[in-house]
Amino acid sequence: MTILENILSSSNLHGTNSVHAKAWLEKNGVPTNRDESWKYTNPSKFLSGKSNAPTVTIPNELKDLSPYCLYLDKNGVDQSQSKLPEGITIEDSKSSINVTDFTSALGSLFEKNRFLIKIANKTKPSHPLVIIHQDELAPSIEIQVGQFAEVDVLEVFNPDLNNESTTYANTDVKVEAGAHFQLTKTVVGGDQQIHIAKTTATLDKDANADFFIFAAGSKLTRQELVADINQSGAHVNAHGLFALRGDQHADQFITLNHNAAHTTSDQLFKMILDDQSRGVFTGKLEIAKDAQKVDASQLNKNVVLSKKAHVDTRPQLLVHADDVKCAHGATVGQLSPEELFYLRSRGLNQSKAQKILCHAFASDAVLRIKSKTIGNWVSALLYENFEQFALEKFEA
Amino acid sequence: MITIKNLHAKVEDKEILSGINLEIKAGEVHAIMGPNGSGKSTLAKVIAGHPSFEVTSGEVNYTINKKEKNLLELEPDDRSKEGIFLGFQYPVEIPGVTNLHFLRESYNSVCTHQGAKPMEEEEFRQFLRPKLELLSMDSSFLDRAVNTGFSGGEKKKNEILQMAVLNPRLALLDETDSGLDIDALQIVAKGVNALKTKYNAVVLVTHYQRLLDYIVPDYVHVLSQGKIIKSGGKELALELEKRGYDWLIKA
Repeated sequence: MTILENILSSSNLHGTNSVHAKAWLEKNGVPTNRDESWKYTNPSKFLSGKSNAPTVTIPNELKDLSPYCLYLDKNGVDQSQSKLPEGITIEDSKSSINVTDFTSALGSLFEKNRFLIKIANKTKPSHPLVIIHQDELAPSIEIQVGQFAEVDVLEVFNPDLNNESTTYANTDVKVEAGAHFQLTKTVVGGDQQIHIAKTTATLDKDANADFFIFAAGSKLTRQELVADINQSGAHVNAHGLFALRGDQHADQFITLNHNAAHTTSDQLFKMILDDQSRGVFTGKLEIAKDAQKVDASQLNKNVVLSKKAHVDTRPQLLVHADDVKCAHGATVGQLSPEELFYLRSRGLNQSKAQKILCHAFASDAVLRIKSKTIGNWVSALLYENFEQFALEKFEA
Repeated sequence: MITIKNLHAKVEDKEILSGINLEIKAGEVHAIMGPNGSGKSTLAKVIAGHPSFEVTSGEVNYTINKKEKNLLELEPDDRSKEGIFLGFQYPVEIPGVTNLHFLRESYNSVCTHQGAKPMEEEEFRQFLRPKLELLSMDSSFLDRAVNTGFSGGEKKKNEILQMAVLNPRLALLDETDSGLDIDALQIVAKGVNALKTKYNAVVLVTHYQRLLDYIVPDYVHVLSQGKIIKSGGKELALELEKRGYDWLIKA
């Protein structure tokens, strides 16, 4: 059985969307390294098994994080545990995933439910909304952020590490004029988990969207973020942190399209890699022809803790306008011997010194999360799952 | 306390120290002076165990509690536990780790090795209070990330604060006076003088005589091309201030 046949055989083909996705996959096939956007990640290497939905146990810390939470499972919304703040509602989505590539096709193929979370104009809840994905194979949500709303959302993917599982997640966000929206996604996987996800966003005038993607572990993590910055005054922050070890593989693919003049963006993406893990970063920044006065910066920084860890990084700029300010850069390196020596000269052994420097490296990214509640959650994840990287929980 | 015999060290293929001989006894203050590139800072780093330098020959014998140790065999963290302290010319910034946490980690590692009890946070804050006062540092320093966003003077004061916490037997201060204005220089000097006892020794690596007005050395050594070319008392520093290094190097 080919990889494609294997993928298709796992799907029950719910509804017409799945049928469309199947047609797309049959036409285009599974990407190989000849496909620029999958150059360093070969999906066939990871997708040979059956696609099993994860099982999830919810840690108590997560339950206590915010009074506002949304529990989603294969049957839909778990009303008994969920509580939404005033101004936020959930309903079945009438739109479908826009199948444009392999990742969105996988999401669409396995999608069972798709929800629309509506945030009314000027909604400003006192606490973040925590969305907890449970046993869904293909979680799919659409978030519509009304004008001048200010909302923090945390999407948690927390599969049980003892069972093989796969998640194909799609999150599509529309941020209307003047709204401030923050989305943090945390994915903690082990050596048997596959997580392939796509987040899309469109931004209207003066809208602000902050994305933070945290991933620890997983046999394969593929995270795509595509933001269309469509009107002037809009700003996107695309930040994140991956922490990898063992044979884990993670691939972050960010595309920011500046489609209008006077739009801005900032990217800081970091990876810490140990053992023989492999990390891939692609940051594509495209400035449209008439999008003058755009100010965009992009930085990818990676630290490798072992000789066998491997990083591929591609900061890409496509500028069609002539009056813009763009900065991009990428670094791959080991911890600085001078910095390690400083710590060791203060009586700290090699492993402790390394831990402190990794912590410093990670904190620079984690501190970009504006919500204190969510920042502390991410730092706790880093601490628990990657004890060797974190010295103490950050106080965001 | 420490005896250095015919010490040679190189970085990559370049020899930086070419036969250093030096003896330092408890209670003494030594100043190491010399032109740029003469090996002053390297000498301090080699004693503290910097991994970039390879010792090619010579000995560094260090006596603590009547036991002699070959310092060159010890890892940098073990040297620190045995009472060696290096004050850095360029202290490292560590974002996301508070000064308090860092100092306590360091104290608990070094001082428990020396027989002291580890301290909990509150007790440790009390322990730090007089040390902060000595250096005219506000207690808010403790809650800031280590050296992150500190001014040049604040970084150097922070080095001396670490020295006060670790209470070393041998403190090597590498250009602690560089980048300091006169007020900060006086505070740093006051701190070092207050920490000076008959049981410990201080080595000042410096370009300028200015620091030696405030911390008076017992001995001054001039380094050139990796060798000590002249040793003398504090008056040698004054002479260098007047005449420069050329007369010694050419002699």
